[in-house]
Amino acid sequence: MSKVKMEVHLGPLRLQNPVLVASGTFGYGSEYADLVDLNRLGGIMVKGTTLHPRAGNPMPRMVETAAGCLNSIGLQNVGVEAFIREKLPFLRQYRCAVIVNIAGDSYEEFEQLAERLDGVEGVHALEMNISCPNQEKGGIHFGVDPESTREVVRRVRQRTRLPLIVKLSPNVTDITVNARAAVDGGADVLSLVNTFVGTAIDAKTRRFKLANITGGLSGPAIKPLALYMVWQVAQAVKVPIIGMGGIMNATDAVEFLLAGASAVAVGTANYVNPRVSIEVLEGIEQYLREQGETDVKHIVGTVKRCKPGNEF
Amino acid sequence: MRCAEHCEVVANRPVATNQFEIEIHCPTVALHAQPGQFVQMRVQSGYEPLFSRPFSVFRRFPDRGNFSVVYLARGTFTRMLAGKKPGETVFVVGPLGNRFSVRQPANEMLHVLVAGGVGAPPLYLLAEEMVQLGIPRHRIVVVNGARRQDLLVCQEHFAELGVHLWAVTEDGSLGERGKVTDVLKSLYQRGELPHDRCQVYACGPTAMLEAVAQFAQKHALPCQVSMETLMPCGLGVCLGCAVKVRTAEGADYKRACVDGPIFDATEVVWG
Repeated sequence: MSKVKMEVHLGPLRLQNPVLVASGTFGYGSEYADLVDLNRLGGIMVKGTTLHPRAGNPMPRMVETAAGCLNSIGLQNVGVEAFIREKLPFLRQYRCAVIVNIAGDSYEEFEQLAERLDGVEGVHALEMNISCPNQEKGGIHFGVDPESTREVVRRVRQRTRLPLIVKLSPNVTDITVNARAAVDGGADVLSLVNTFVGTAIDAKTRRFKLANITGGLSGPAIKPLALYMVWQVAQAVKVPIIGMGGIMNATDAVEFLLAGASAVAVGTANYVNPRVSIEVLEGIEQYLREQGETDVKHIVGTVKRCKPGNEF
Repeated sequence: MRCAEHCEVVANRPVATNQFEIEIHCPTVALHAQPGQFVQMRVQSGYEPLFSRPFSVFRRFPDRGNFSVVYLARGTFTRMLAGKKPGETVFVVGPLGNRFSVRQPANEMLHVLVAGGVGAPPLYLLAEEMVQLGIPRHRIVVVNGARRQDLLVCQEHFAELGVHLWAVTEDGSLGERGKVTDVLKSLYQRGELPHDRCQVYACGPTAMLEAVAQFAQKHALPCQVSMETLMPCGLGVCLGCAVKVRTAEGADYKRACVDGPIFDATEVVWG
């Protein structure tokens, strides 16, 4: 069987292959380690990490929807110090990249997080979560206002030498505006998309299904929207893109690569099938062989317009 | 030891009105599942419904590598599960979660297993283990409750174990009329639940668990409850199954799928 090259470079970040697992859907890796060979992954984007531990939002905070789910977890996490002390040593055993997703309520919190993680052994990149829809303050605010996006990225850029990924919110009128703002601020890579704000109502009880009323929609329901945004942003900026949003299998992942993503992140699908990330990796390799491609980089952004069909 | 794999359905038989026992070939779960643990199952190839569903393990057949769960076919997912025929496959992740803890297995200890509806199966596995551990059958009390007789689960299995068995139905169609807590109150009033030599284990709807927990707390009876929530991942990652618990600092969230599903009843913040 012919070997295809799967290594990708996202700016200064090297990945052994383009398959990542999205933040918030893979914990700190240890939760999956007996079911998934972590050494085979391109990288793990760890759970959203804040300066201090967070308990998260009240229950109920997750609801299944049509081909998707809404979550309002509220960044429940152990905090950056416990992450470095308790979670990172486990991750250092593996050769996949470790990308820490950081989230702050203020410019200063983002700066402190970046500074704290800079130079820490085993941390290969930062992903700035400026797009979480489930926080009362901060979070999405930074991601929907281009000026705030530019400023928060600029400040973090000054505090770290790590490759800087900025995760964009889809909850904007034109995502390319925020993409350019993030690049202007110093982003090496963009990841998109985070979840779409939505809600769910129980008609029987006449109540919202989430205690927080709104949550972030993810899963296969959002794939066409995410795919379009990846394609849009790929036309607008020069930096590499990590595409995500409803990737459930290798074909979905290939579509994101064709749309212009240099790597992909599997999210909600990890809940459905713990081994899906490896299946996606193997499926991309198989696709490349079938297409006669020798390097995954060769297919990035190669989608073409369809031919007009016959009219009925 | 746990697995995530497609497993063959061996049997899928009706056991009561709209209730089925599905037997699945999965040596890992058959060998390693403990009382109170569960598996995540997925039966569909499409995205409706999207998530797997958790089911407590009912019986284990390690010699032939099978395990079974009992389920009520009432929603989209469980109706699809009811349509699974022998030879077809389901996707199984498990065994998952913690287990009921059998504390102080002294001869004088009284073990009170309180089941509500389809909460009975994991308690059956617990009762079976207790018998295998040599706990005298008369020291194992099962209070098995449901709204009606035809919704009572595992009654004949408990009976076959020879444990001290109470049936209780809200409409009085079988056994005592009322709720499981009515039987507990009656036992307590007769002096049959000594607080210093009694352990309560409960599994069933949340409202029942809360009532049992309140009863246990009132009479200082140690009580373990199996919490039922939506568990999208079952692996402690999505944090969608959080249970509010008391801590020294106030309250916090624990994950039902990995910190539970079994919790000390006094730890849970109810309501």
